[in-house]
Amino acid sequence: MNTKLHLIVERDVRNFFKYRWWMAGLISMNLADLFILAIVFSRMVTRLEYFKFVLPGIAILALFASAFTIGREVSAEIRRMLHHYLLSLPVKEWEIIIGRPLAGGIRGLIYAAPMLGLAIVLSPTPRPELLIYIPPVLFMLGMGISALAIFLATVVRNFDAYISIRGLMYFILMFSSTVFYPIDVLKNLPTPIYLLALYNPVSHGADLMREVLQQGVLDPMKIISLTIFSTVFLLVSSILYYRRIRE
Amino acid sequence: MILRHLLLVVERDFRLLIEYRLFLIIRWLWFGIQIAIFGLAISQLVVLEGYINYYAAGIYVATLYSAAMFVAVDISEEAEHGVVDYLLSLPINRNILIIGRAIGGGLRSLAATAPPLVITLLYVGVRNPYTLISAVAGLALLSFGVAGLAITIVSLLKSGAKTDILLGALDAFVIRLSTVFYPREFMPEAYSAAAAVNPLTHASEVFRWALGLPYEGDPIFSMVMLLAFMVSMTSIGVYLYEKRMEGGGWTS
Repeated sequence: MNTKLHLIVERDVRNFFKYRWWMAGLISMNLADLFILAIVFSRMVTRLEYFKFVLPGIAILALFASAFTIGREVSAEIRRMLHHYLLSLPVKEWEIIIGRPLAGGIRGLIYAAPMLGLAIVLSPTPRPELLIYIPPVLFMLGMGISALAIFLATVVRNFDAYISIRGLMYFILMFSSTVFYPIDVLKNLPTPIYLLALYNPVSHGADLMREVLQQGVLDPMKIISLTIFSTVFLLVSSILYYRRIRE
Repeated sequence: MILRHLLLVVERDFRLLIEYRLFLIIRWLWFGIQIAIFGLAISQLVVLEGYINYYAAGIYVATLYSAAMFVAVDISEEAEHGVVDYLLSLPINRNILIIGRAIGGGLRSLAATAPPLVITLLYVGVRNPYTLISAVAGLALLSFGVAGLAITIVSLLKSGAKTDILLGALDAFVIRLSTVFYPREFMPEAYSAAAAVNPLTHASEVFRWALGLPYEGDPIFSMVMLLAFMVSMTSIGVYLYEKRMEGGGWTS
């Protein structure tokens, strides 16, 4: 099939490297979280080995933050009517629509790779036969997160409002997850926060990574739930994105 | 005349606050989320008793720091849009202009973080109003000092992108290498040494002392450190702004 999907994906992946300043800031934040915050908290937390606990979670945070950036580009393109240029190219609409979250997944995977490598190196006894599942699972999660970001970009029309809501959603999903604490801790918080953490894809990604790297097990239910999350948001964001660029 | 010019510059900077309404509301929500979710959750894991109050005081100081650092973003955006050249062409003494910006930026940050401050005071409780006044003075010193630091950074770099990256990196390391989140007794030696000279540590300790929370060090020493930080940063900022702002040379 003579598809040009790869060109849309390549364009978005190339664009990612234009944000080197932003990425440098994000890398600093992730490294500071890991090598300062996690180390000090590991001396304050006695219930679990905090550094080991939080390391896979920070790799997921890195994936989450970088995959989320695609929404900003889509929002800016819609605002500046740049999507008309995209539509004028000899590519099919579905290639544009599917290419964006695909690129988002790849961007997430590229950015999270060093953190992931570190998590693998520092994990007690990683099982190689399970490690091969990590890249496709993370790619799928990254794609779902990108779809969520595109969904937001199509729903919130004002760019400033989009940036603000995006930031707020980032904080809510990050803190209402099991990246920084186990789920039983969140059980003691108000029920909506606990429920959000329970169904939060960031929680599922962090837990799955922990289980694979530290316990040597892979829970198929988590893969299923991540697949459902990604599929639902891919479908919804694709429909909404199509409607926006066709307006 | 000098005072009138100074007031004009301060007022202009202060008015910019209105333009950031949405941004401010989101910042306040972030602050609330950090206490209501992260603070409450992590306080169940740490061995420090009453950690949520300790964290609430610290996170307010971090919020104030981030708000004051925003002066750098403002100046670099103004430079990109040519507003700096316009400001330099005004019949206002350069020193007055930049001192006004430092004061305006500091005051604006205090005003922008007033709701989080009130929430923190209500949540933790005020035991002694007199110590609280000293603490607010300490927080004001931090705010003016950080605004001076922001002016120093942006004047040195003369680049929006480089300013962004340095602010991001500073934000990540300066906040974490201080007692905003944790006491020095739990830090490795190298981190503790860095935290000892960090103005955020001194502001956090003064604030905790005023709120009757566990604090490390001497509040008077911390106030002196904050004063020294404010004077040095404002002086360097004024010097660099005057020397480097004219003549273009800004890069994106």
